[in-house]
Amino acid sequence: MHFNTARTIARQLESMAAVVAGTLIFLLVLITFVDVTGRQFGHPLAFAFEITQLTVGIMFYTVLPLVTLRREHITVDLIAINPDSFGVRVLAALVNLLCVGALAVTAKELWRQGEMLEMLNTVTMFTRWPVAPFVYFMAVLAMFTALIFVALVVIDARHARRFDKE
Amino acid sequence: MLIFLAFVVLFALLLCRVPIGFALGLVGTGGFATIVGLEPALRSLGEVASDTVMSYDFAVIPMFILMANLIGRSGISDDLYATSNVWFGGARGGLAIATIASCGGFSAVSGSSLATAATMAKVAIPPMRSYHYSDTLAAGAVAAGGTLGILIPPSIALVLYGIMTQSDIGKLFAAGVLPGILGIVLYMAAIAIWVRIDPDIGPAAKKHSFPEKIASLRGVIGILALFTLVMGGLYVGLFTPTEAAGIGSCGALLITTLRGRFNWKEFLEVIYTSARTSVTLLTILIGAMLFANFINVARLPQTIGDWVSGLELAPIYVILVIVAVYVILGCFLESLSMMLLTVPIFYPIVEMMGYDLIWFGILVIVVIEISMITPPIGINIFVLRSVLPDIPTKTIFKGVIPFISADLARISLLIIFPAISLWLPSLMR
Repeated sequence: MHFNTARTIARQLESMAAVVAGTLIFLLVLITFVDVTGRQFGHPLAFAFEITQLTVGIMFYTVLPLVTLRREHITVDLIAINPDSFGVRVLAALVNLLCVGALAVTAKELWRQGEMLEMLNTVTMFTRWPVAPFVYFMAVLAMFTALIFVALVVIDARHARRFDKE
Repeated sequence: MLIFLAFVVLFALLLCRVPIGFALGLVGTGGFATIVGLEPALRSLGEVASDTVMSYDFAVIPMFILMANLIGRSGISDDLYATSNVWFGGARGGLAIATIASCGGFSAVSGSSLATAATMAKVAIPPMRSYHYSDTLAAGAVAAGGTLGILIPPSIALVLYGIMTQSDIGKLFAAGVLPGILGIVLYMAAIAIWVRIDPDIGPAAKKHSFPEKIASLRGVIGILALFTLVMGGLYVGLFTPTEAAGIGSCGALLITTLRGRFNWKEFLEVIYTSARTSVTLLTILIGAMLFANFINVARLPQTIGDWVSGLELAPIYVILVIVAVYVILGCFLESLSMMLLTVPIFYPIVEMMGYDLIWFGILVIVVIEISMITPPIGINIFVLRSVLPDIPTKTIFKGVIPFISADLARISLLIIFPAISLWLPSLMR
């Protein structure tokens, strides 16, 4: 695929995910507001607690790829470095690959967790929704984040090649 | 030996710029696997990655961050500064004192120090410059005042501490009120002493009559109402911290709308930014939890505890050593990350020595406040630099020295008189 096309698709995906993330965070606020207000009139939202839990989980894994794509993870910047030096580039690629490994293992364990919840038929208390599909979805998003880290390695390699040519 | 090796690996990973959350998670899971075996370690990873992330307490973080970001865009800081200016501006150094008061007020509705420093820099520096205040005093006051955001509730740092140590977040918030007010008073005193020694740095601005002062209070009604709603509701047990955060976000949205500052594009941007900021913090929190699991299984707190009791030191010396460690580490590490990195090690020791974890939490946050303004990587200094690039870093660092002294005095008072932190939570139901 052409690099620019990939970039356009990435931007569109980011916009979509940003809307989803925004909607989820707004949903958190809305549920709380309705629940607290309703409680004053004797009508709290019985399922507010569990929906909040599910929403925050999904929000975390939806935003994780975006934070990764934008390279916004917090790092310790104790030593001033030249980002274009060969050693630093190799190190950055290794760090990204380490994160790929960490996320792939996490995704696998999340999937296993989902399988266990499915086996135990775990459902939410009030809405009676099965929890496993949510955890499977989180596993998929964790794996997607791992792929974003792979994409960062590719993007950096292309940047380095262009920089070296110049 | 294993623990030592784990710390070496952790610091090596951090130096190689592995994201902090990932480094903590990797070392935590690896260390855990070495002690209890790979399978239980992976199970634990799966549980933390699902159950802990889907936790009700976690929801408090994105909503308080949203509240802080919304309030930052509402323009309420202008009114707050205008009111503080009317009350304090007529005295020598008064505009700097007004800056501290405004930062304190803004912190009462914003849990983020960065938001406080960035917002107040834009509002407070231009008037101080127009009255020929020295850049040292002006920038120092904003950078130091900004640190109040991390302690005065609602505070994101206190939420993170509460989750890590399983302490009551509502009580932590209540505990932060008086030390926060003490911080404001000591900062103001530092300015008063400074301008007495060197009167040229902060000339008096226009004086205002008493009726003008009363009339100016209209500007702070919104902030006062929001703070009373969020903290009052929490204090009297009307709602949980998560609910307080949700209600606070709604209140912040209402204030922004009523002030005519609401527009959809900015709103969506604020929501998106808040979600990203939350996830960067939650990633570190999850890593820190995995790391804490390992530390507990390795019995590090017990080992250090035994070692300390072998030294036959009075517990207070241990607290002083911990404070010193924070001050030193704070010079090199980002504040919240430093807290998440160290609290799992320190809090069991402090608990074993019989100290109250609420009190320790407040102490940790105040020490972390110092780290936000100490060289070489005081984060508030860089926020200020990005908003006002014409003020040299050296000038800002020089400007924060009196405030660091005030913070050290505050730490001493908090250690000597624990009631400053513990009195308000003791009255809670």
